[in-house]
Amino acid sequence: MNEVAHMLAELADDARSYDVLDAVLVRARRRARQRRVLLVATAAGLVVTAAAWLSVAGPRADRGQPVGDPGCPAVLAESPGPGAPTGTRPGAGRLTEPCAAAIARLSAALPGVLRDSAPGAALPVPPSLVQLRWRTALPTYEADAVAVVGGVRLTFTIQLYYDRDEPPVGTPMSFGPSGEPAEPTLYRSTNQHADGTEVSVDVSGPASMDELRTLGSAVARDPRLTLFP
Amino acid sequence: MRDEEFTEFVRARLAHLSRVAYLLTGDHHAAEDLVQTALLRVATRWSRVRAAEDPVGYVRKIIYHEHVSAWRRRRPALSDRPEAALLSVPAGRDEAGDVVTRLMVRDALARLTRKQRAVLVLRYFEDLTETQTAAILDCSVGNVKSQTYRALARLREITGALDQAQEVRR
Repeated sequence: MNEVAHMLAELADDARSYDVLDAVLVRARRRARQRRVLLVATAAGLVVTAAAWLSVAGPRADRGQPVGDPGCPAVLAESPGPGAPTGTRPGAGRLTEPCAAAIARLSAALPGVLRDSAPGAALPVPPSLVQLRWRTALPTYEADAVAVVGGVRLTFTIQLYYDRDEPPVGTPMSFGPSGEPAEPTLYRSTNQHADGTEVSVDVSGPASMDELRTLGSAVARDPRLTLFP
Repeated sequence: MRDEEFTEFVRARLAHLSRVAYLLTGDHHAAEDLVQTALLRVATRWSRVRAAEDPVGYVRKIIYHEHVSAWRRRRPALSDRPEAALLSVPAGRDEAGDVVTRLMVRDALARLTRKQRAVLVLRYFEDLTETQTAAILDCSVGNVKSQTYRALARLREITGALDQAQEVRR
């Protein structure tokens, strides 16, 4: 065994001291630089992917999701169904505080905005506000308000602009049905202005899509229609 | 990476690492490559190496692993390049016997497997125990024993044959 050790020691004497330090340092620095670039690129890629995902998933959550879909966080409140007590909001438990405050404001305002005048009954319809969907965050809230009027689901898209110098003001931006008319009935949309005046738009008879659009357009175009005094 | 610390660490050990690498490879170019590759790995993990309880052991482990796993980028073995053996005989040495012995040993080592060479160098050059050798090579002590036994047997066999060839040449 000693002989082997001796042989190895003798052979090792032939070795040079390889001067590789500079080369190692240069290559190590280059690798560190490459790793940093890779990390930054990976992080950027993740950010871009997340942004792309959000840009797709965000609107999807706001549009066309079934009411009460647990996968749709934008569904903030949903209809308690016909005959349910006024003001019931089963989905309200999921609201964040600023959303809840804004919805309370909307809920207070919408009954004065939209009234259901079904044949034989003229009832205020707070429960007909079946769904509110929050799209965006402050300073501009955008919400879909879905109301059932005489069995027809109507969708309002409402934008709330918050300005430091102005009180919160809401403007109906668009209006359109998201369902077919169920029964021939009379619709009346009453919009209350800040000064207390009311503007009503009536649609009589079997409501067609066109009629509902007309109603919507009238609501949207009326310059006095300010939802939130 | 802190260049100064790394530089100091490497300078203190470069000579020994070079000797080990030369024994493992039997070729100056391959040894230089091995040292450089191993040190590069150390440099990229320098914070971990520095924090290790036994940084020298860590580096040793890297160089042996690098050598054993180097089959992927295997250079032609020394035995395949007889002219390299002649060219790399150190100048200025005139003790024919020493030179012949070195050539024999190097040739014999070159004919062992990489792991057998690693085991021999660790056990008889670095003077480590079987347990320490097993820890560095990530294998069992039994494996170290069997590799050592086979390596020595093969070494005897080869050096015997080389001895005979030398006799015939004379």
